[in-house]
Amino acid sequence: MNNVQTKLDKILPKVEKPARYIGGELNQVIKKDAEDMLRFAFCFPDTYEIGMSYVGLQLLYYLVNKEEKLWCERVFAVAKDMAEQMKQEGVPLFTLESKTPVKECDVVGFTLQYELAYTNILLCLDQAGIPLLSKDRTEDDPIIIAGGPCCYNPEPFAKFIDVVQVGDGEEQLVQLLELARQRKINNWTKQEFFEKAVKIQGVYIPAFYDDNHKKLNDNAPDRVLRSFLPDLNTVDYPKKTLVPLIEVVHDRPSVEIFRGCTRGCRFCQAGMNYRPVRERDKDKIVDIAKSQLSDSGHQEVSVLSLSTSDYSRFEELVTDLMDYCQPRQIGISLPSLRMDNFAFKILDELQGVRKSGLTFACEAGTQRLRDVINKNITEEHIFKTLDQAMDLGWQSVKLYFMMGLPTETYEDLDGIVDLSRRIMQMAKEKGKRFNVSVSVSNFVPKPQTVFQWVRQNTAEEFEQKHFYLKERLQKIKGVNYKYHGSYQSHLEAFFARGDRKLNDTLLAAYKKGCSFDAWTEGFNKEAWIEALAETGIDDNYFAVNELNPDDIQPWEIIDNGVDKEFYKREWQKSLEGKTTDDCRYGCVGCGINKHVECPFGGSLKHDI
Amino acid sequence: MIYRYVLKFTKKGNMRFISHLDMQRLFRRVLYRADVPLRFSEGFTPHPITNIVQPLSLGFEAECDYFEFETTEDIFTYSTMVSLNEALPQGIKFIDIKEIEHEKKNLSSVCEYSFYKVYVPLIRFSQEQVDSFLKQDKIFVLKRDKKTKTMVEKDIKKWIYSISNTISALDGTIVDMVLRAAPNETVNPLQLTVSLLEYLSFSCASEDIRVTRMDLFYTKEGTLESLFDR
Repeated sequence: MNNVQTKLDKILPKVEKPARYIGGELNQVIKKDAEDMLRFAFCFPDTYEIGMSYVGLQLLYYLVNKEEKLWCERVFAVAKDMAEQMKQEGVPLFTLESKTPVKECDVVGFTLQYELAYTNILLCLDQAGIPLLSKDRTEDDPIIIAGGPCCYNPEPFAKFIDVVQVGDGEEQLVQLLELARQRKINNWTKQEFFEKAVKIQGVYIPAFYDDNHKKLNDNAPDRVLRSFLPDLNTVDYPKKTLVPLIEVVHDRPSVEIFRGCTRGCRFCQAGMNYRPVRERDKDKIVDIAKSQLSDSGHQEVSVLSLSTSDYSRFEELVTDLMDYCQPRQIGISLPSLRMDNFAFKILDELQGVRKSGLTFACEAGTQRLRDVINKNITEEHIFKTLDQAMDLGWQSVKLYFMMGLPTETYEDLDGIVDLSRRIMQMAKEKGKRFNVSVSVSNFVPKPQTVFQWVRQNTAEEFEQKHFYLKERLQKIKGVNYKYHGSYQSHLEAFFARGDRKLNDTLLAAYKKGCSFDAWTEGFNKEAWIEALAETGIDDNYFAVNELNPDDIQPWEIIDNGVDKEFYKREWQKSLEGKTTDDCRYGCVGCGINKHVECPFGGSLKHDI
Repeated sequence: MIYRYVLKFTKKGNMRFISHLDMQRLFRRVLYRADVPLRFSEGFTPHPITNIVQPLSLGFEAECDYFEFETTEDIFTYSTMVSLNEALPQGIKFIDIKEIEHEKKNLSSVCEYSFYKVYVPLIRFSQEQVDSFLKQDKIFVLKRDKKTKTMVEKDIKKWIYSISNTISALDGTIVDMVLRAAPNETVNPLQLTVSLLEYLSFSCASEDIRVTRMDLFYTKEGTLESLFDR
């Protein structure tokens, strides 16, 4: 038993939910350490419960550990009570599998899913006893890498990370780790390793550029093109998953059915960064779901994609899954389902008398604004669906909106109120008991989207708008209203569009105790304001400014494969209130097919 | 048809931090995984009929705890039980199985006493000292009041069956406790140990005390019998 475990015996009885720190789950991988074994600590910089719900972790954990000489272990950010105990007892951050101090691993990888996790990168490095800044680390410190959607603008955290990976990670991560293993065997310096790593597609080495992206190394590309996995079916998907011993956010197997989206919503970052649409074969999906279920004993399975109903053989897929699941009383979760007759039929069968809520991502309150953002959902569709849903016994609907979208006026907010009122009116006329929950998030302009140049509302503007809506919605019986913290959304935009100067602010905020910023409890707005002031950074410059599309933005060092001209065209159309059709009905010229085959572009025809 | 089984299991090492509810979920998963035809409750939200007898406090280990469940087919055997162990984490293990007539009351309602071994590190005391502690008229421990949800002192002397076999060595003391463990009549051995140490004027952090449940008992003609033998 190693040193960490001995101290854990003492610490764990004192902390909340100690099982988050013990590992030991079904299908965890323990390997015998060896000189030529590459030790990789995969860190999700948030709590165990959140990190273990992330499908990408299951996928990469499986793919890396499939390689005999690569050993991937998990690390999560520890809660504050645990952090305190660890500090007192001198326990550094450790891997769950073998309780090895993270500092002793060869490579530490952070998956960055949201901007408000950035301070937790520093928290984890600090608890691991690893110098925070890349330039302060020695040859003996682990190589720090990062991946995930936030890497489409890596500048705000570039000084803390040695190697940033952009794009599909399945093959790229294994390739990079194998190279790191060669470094270990051959005693290459970090510099030698970086020189070789930069040749892998989608790899960005921040130290090869100065703060203004002037190249400092001849091997560094002018722009880093993301990596592509042209066909999802060529890479294995885990048939067995890590099964948490405690309840986590999503406690069920989840199978990714396709990657990418053809709908072209102008605010959506995933819709641009995961192009083109690539589907997993139907039979493979069913096979994976069956083996994950029978291996784990879970009683629910979920499918994962950006728009479930767009899967080309959706009805067959669902029928096959139901054939397996129904006799076994296994539930099927179908998120982001578009409601049509088929959807009603299956939901009715799946849910029987107990109807869970329906959800509509309307995103905006009026048709005009929905056209601006290219969100293809109409009021006619909403009301037709709800008419049927109420008759079939549904008792509630959730409506999702965004606030602060470009060209938004108070008329668009009135649209939200009006829609909610008319839904309740309809229920009343039918004599049905019904509830509407309106959930409004704050629009965050994201890099690598059509709306990347748009100004964000200030936190004050958001507050005013929320107040306006709250006042009106609370007067309607049966409607409840939820919204997000405005300052946190402001920080998200600040980091989403930030440049390298923000590394200083991030560090200052961390030193003032900021961490777990995505959590409402413990979020310290004052500390952020102080950190901004101390580092002389104007947050509004990054979040609230309208940017000029002709300027080069900090994130343009990364190329997601979509042409800038496409964004500009779409931005212009948006201002004119013109929509762009789903590109399965005809290529809209985003440029992705210059890099990789786009199997579904123009694959459908409109019904005439 | 209804078939009822009881499984004996151990829970050791880090697995002592898995809560009662999570244990319940874990056991259901391994049964589903093995395609055991579980019997479901009736009503609006049917759920499989399973029961872990006497919840064990978070942080306690068990040499012998009990898990009951019902099936619709008579197919569960010793080798089925062994196969379940493949999917259990290191530290949790099924070690014995018994079929019981389903007319019998469930084990939770017949359970009367719980037998713990308590290890107090780095402190030495003797059985005589324990006996003098037991001779007090009243023995108070901190107990959570269900109504006010606060910790209150409560006299639980009548719920102590025995504290015996005190063995002291250089690295600490081990003591056996048999305590009442019936619905609404339970004593936490950790709290009782804290009271005992206080009485003996020792100070010891409660998280350093290790507790292992050795068995659960019912009474038969005045003697204690293992629940498994019922």
